[in-house]
Amino acid sequence: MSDSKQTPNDALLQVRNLQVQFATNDGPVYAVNGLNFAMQRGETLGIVGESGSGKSQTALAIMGLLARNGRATGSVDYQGRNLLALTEQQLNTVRGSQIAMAFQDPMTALNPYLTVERQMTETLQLHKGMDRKMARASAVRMLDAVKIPAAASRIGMYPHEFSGGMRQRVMLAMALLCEPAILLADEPTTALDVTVQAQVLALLRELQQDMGIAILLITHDLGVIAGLCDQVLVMYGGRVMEQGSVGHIFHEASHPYTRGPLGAIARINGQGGPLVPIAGSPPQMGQLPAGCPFAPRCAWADALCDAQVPALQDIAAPHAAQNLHYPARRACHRPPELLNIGQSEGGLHG
Amino acid sequence: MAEHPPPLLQVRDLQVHFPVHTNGAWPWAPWGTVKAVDSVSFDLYAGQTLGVVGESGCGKSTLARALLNLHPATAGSILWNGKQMVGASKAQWMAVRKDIQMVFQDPLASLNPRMTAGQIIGEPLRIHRPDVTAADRAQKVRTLMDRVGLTAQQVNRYPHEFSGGQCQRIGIARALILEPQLVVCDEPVSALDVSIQAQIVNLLAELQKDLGLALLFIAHDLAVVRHISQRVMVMYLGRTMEIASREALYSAARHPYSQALLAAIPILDPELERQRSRQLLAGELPSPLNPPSGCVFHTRCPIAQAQCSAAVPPLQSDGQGNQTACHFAQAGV
Repeated sequence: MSDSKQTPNDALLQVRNLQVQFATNDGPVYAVNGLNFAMQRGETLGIVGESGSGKSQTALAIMGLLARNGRATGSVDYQGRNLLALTEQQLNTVRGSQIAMAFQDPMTALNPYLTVERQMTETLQLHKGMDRKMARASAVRMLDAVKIPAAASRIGMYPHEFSGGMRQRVMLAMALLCEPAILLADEPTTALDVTVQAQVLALLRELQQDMGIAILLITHDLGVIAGLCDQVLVMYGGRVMEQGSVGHIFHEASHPYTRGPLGAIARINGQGGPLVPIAGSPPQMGQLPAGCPFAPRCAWADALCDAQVPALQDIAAPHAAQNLHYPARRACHRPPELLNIGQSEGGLHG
Repeated sequence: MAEHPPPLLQVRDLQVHFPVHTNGAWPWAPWGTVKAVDSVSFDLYAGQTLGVVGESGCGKSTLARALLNLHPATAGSILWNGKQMVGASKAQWMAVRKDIQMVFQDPLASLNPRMTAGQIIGEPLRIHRPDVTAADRAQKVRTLMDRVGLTAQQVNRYPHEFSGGQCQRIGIARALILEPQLVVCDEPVSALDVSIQAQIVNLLAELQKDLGLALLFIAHDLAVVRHISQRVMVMYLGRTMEIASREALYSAARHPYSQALLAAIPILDPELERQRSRQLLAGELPSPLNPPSGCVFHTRCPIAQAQCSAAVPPLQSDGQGNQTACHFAQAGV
């Protein structure tokens, strides 16, 4: 199961065995365990999971933005350098300019005391050495690109003068200012209405086509994944439960957890019958079970699942075979045939 | 549709306006009016669920609060069991609130952190039914906690000891203890994790069936609304755009705004989702301080014509109980 064999050498970002731990008063908390993935230029990787599954901590670890009590191990290779081993100073030359992040909540991620202009020109002055005037001109161009009306006058406004959808677009514009190779977007549409969400997703798709950036998209909304991603990681309790191409995840997913939340999401295509909820609640990261993190909520769990963490293993599946770029993997003790799901129901879209 | 009993709740041209300073917060700044709810009409029958959808800022929550007089209505009429409630006294509202209860959006913020779960759930009973003894009340609280999926041992715990989903269950138990006829749910699941949302929606649907409740279910998530509602009302900028049965709305919405809302929902299939050409609504919600003339939607409407900016379209029935406020309403996308 060596990853280097599976993924081509030209990967833009290669994450190997990423682990994130937090030292707390109640002992260590393992937020992310053994994450492996590779991203190519111009493609989109989606990470999907409930709150507390380690999605955001993965992005923060890549950016070197973990909280002070957090520690990331493993390797994140970008252009021949391991980002996790860089000093703060070296990291500052990479993040913001080559790898940028759009944070989850645009209300709290933007500084309420500074105008949008001041916040946007800061990055350009720092990374590109532009003077204020040039920086302002390119900031206005970028706001235009994300379709903020009357960008030249609105750039002087404060974040509270923008609506939620516009703030999200300002966040995106800010992240894209230095034309990064990789954009980490943490729940870019969660706080938005469906109509605005559709606008932001269309915008991301367009920017990706124009600029060829790779996007790491963190979300709990599978609809967003369906529209944008090439490769998908399903996370639960800090571990990858299932990963593969978007076609594999949507048509052949066989992990009980991947099937679970999809049944739980009220499907717009479905009829009005009762939803299939997962019993229980998301795990407390401080008190993860010894075995599979999903075992306490899993209908198929047995003694083995409670005792031993299942390994992430390659599986063969028709959709996965079509796309060798994205190996299909699954971490579950029970084989798909035993679960009697996957084949009969033909994937996630009812 | 004619053999319906008289509606439990009949709302006609309801308006809720707020006076605000238009230009900064200075005392001498001129006053304007935010028309948060401006002409909303609907009927709600016993045991039915009416879903209310719309973008944020369209007046959904204000409507919910107006139905319990948490924001007094400015004009229009609210008939509760045939009784006019607009302009009713505090005492009259107090009496009616035994029958209309509310579940709030933020499960933790809507519970008093210094009260235990048992005290919170029992409080409406203590206020509205002082004749019930403390022992009976405790008994009722325990029964209800069991009914909403909490255990009786949790009765002495405080809200911070519960998860979001459990807090919402406490909120639901609190709304049900008076055995109301109508529960107004203001975004009851939007603050919860996806897997927990399904649990709460199923619980509400189950309780409704067992207790014969009427629900007014407000959400911005059209998929959730579809699962629980028999009828759905689409609001835009404080106005009713369309009221239709679930089947009619989701298969053949007639109002261009409803069509746009439905078209914006992603499909859970990567191939279909990418092939689909869709018409995105351009721009932002106009300011409710200064709404567009005529039909409020005409600034973003793909089929707007001159007539739309001149005349407000009335809510028109199609003869099958579905109503649309559009000059050019037509079925299908």
